[in-house]
Amino acid sequence: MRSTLLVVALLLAACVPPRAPLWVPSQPAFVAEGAGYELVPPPGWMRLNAAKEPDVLVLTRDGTQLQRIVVASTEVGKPLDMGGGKRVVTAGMSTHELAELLVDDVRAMEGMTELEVLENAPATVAGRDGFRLVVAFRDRAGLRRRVAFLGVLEAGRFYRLMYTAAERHYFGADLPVFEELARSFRLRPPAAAQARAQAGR
Amino acid sequence: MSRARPCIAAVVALALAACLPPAVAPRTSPAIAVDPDEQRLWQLAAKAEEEIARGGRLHDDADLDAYVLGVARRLVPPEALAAVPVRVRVLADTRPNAFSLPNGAMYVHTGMLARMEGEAELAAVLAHELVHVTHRHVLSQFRRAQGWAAGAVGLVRLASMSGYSRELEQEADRESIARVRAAGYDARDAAALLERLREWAAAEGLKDEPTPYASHPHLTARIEACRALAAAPGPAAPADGGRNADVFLRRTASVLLANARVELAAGRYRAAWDQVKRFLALHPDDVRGHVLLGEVARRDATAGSDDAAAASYRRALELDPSAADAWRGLGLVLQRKGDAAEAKSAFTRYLELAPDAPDRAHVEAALRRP
Repeated sequence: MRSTLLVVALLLAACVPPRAPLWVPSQPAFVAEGAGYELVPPPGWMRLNAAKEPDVLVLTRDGTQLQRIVVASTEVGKPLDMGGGKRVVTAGMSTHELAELLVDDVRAMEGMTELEVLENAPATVAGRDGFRLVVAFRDRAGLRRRVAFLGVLEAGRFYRLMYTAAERHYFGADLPVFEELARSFRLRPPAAAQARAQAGR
Repeated sequence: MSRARPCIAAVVALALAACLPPAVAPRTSPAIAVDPDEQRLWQLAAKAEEEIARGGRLHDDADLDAYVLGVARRLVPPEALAAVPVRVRVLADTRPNAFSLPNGAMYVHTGMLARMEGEAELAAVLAHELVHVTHRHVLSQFRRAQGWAAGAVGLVRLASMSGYSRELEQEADRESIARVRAAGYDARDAAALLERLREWAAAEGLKDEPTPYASHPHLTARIEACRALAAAPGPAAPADGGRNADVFLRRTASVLLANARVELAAGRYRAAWDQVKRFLALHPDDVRGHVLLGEVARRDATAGSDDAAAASYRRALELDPSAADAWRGLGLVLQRKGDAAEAKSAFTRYLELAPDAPDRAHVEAALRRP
């Protein structure tokens, strides 16, 4: 009887598809087909294996509370959907206004205090006119954090690369890693645009 | 239904009643002792209070704190006040909410005060929270949840900040309406505030239960219950319903501006606009109000909002030509409208007034553009 149960249990276990791991090693290259960008993630970091949002890249080495890099994009006219706010990117926004939008986004974070804008300047991102923004604040857990953003508005999409870490020790330690990743960031025609172009041929 | 069923139901009800812990008597005088469980709950509450104070979200307006505490003290019988050290602080949080801890610490969010129209509404919210304190609702909830095994820390937080059981909330509404009336306020304002919160939730696309304060037991049912309680015979309210609207608005003006800033950052432009307008109705010559109104209109970017933004910045500059943020906003809105020369003039003035501005590089780039 006991061995029959064991066999049944093993058979049932074999029928259950293996669950994909939540974090996987970062690959030599990351391509976001739908959002239209590619980059080279840092070696030795882990990537969030998010099936629901395959075009959003989340990377960390020591855990997301200590440091993480997030690369995401939003279509013009749609809410940014960060921090529960309702800010919308509109066509023709200047890099100055786009940076302001991200400062607002941080300001609206629940439990955030002591916000400081440390750097806010035009910057070249993927060969286009973009911006670089660095802010510091205390999060709801009382941890002093620093965030570096790079952003660019191109072909109807607002692309942003974010690196955040505990201000003490971690931020400075991994900032060169983020900058290396940012240098590898390239825009490519999003999959939908490619499909439209091919259909039109 | 068979005859046996009511008997079975009665037996089951009696059995269940026997399992319930004894009811906790309200603390209406210092003669009612604080029991050991309650002492530990108070200690946990004191820790939560320290955590909130350290969190950096207390709204810094001592006059407002004193005013709110004054209203609260009118709502508690003196002998109960001697038993529970009631204090109230305003928390910088745009969500319309209020909560209390079992040791008498109470908190009202700026988002709640910014949506109130008079003192009677404030009294209704404070009275509700005070009943949770004086009627020892955290202790009741704690006993029902099988005591310390349930995790008291979580219980203090859950009950105090996220709501109590339906019957405790109903008791808080029932008792608070009586206290509000006894203190000379129009109890109908309790329902009026809840109704406004329901409208806000609908406008924001939230479900019927937008915040812990406005969800327990269920917002719609609660509005009806409060209306019914307020309609029952009782002492007549004074002519203005105890609203003291002028005093209330003057005292809470700092909240309107602070809350509007966060609403703006979150992209809730309509709420931000309404709150700044209310502030400016009280302080029509306040430069900060006009600049903030300009910021809201500029970010909103709907039809006509650029003109509204420019008008607000210009009004601020009439009042104070050295208002750097008004020059900055004016530059941005004129740049968007295609008025490059005027935009550059505004940006130049901004950098003269704020040479260390964090966005200086953006402005200089705009000035270099042909």
